[in-house]
Amino acid sequence: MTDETRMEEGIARLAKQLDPPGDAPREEMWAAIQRARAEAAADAAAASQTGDAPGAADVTNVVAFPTAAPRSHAWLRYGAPLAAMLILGVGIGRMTMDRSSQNPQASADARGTGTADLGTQPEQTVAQRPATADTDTAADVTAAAPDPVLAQLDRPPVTRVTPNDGGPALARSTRSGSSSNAGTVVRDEATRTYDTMLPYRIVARRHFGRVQTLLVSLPADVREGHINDVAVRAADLLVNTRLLLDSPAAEDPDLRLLLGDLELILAQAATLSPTRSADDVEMIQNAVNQRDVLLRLRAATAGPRLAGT
Amino acid sequence: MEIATETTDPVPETELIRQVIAGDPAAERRLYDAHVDRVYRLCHRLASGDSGLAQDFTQETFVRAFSRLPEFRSQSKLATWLHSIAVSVSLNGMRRVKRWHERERPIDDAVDVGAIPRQAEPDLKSRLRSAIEKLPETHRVVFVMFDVEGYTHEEIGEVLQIPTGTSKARLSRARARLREDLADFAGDWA
Repeated sequence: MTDETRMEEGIARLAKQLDPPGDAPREEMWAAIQRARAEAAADAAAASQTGDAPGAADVTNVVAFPTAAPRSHAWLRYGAPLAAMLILGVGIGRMTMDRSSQNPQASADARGTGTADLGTQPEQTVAQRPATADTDTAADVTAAAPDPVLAQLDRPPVTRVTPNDGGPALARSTRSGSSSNAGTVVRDEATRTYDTMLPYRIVARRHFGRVQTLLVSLPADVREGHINDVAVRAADLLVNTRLLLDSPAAEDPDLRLLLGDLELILAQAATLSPTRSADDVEMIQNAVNQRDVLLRLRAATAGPRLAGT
Repeated sequence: MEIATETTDPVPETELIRQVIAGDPAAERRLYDAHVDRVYRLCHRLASGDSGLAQDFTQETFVRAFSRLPEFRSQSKLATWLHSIAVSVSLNGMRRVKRWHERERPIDDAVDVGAIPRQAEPDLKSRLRSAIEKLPETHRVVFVMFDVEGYTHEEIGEVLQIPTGTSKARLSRARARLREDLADFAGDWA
């Protein structure tokens, strides 16, 4: 055996000992895979609503390394259906509100019973629904794993009422004229509300992730001269932020505040100009720091690590 | 030549794939259990021993695999196909990670600013780790798969879609580069 061969064998032996992989965390990864697939299914459902079905380009490159597309095109690809879905959602929301205002009694029932339900079913928040094996519907699959943002968006706008503490829940039901089957009606209404809110929850979470990415990479992008790219991305995100502000996602006061701050910051980023970009970036960073925007965005997008995220 | 799986599933692979495509969640789990350990090991090695990244890459591999399984034409074994995705996902992921790291400076660097540089010789393991990192990507993959994870050249050829001879040539070059980089330690193996 030559010295070279001996050395190669030694190198291979030592390389095997470098950072040896432990046991694969099977369950943890399985949960994340299921969750990622659920999100993809929800995205696909949303895309099909907006007529943006995945094309051949999305299913290529299993083996070959994908070539990088122009960044602005990628943002537009995701941004356009997102914006279209939001517009559709806002439209539906407004139509629903119009209908509710024509029937004040039904509207009062829904509000009262919705609150009571959140009190009577404290264990069944969105994040804690039992995961179902069937991943056909967006509602089922998205409910499969805990999500801090979803949980935050699930918070009712008024104080929760516990089921057995007597007064408030009963009083609310009585005031709204509910009968003995109010519980069933309450659950149905809450389920409907949940289903209606689902696209907004998903969109809000994704949106915060994208804004976070933009803000974190902003100084480096500007330094490297990608100012126009940053401005285009910021403008896209600004449109989405404004749509979210008009959507039910903004019913939560904390999220509304965050969206308001993002609107101001993104408006600044969208008007970045090559001539005075350094001042603009400093101003944006000051705004981000003063309002703890990144911290709040991280809190809003925190959760178990996902595949591809 | 086939890449081995961890468990022997009584259901034939084609039947298992058919069940997964039909939406059978139990079949999905069986497929996952049969392949996850080797996929994770490969991802872990390609992620330079970063468990978090390995986990991400493994998850992404299976997410892609499940979504693209209807396109799988059984021209190769499922394991080969899965490992191809794993390599692709890991290499793309590591490129992103490297780009990201290039923008960062570790906080430890600031401590050394203005200080006298330390002359301490890094030990053999860290030198080897760094030498492997420095290998060209195409060579590193072959080295990791053959010398570290024990794939054959035929398996590597199928996974990377390269001729067996190319795999051998890349391994040879990778080994030569490592020998050069670790020449200081040549006596240790004598």
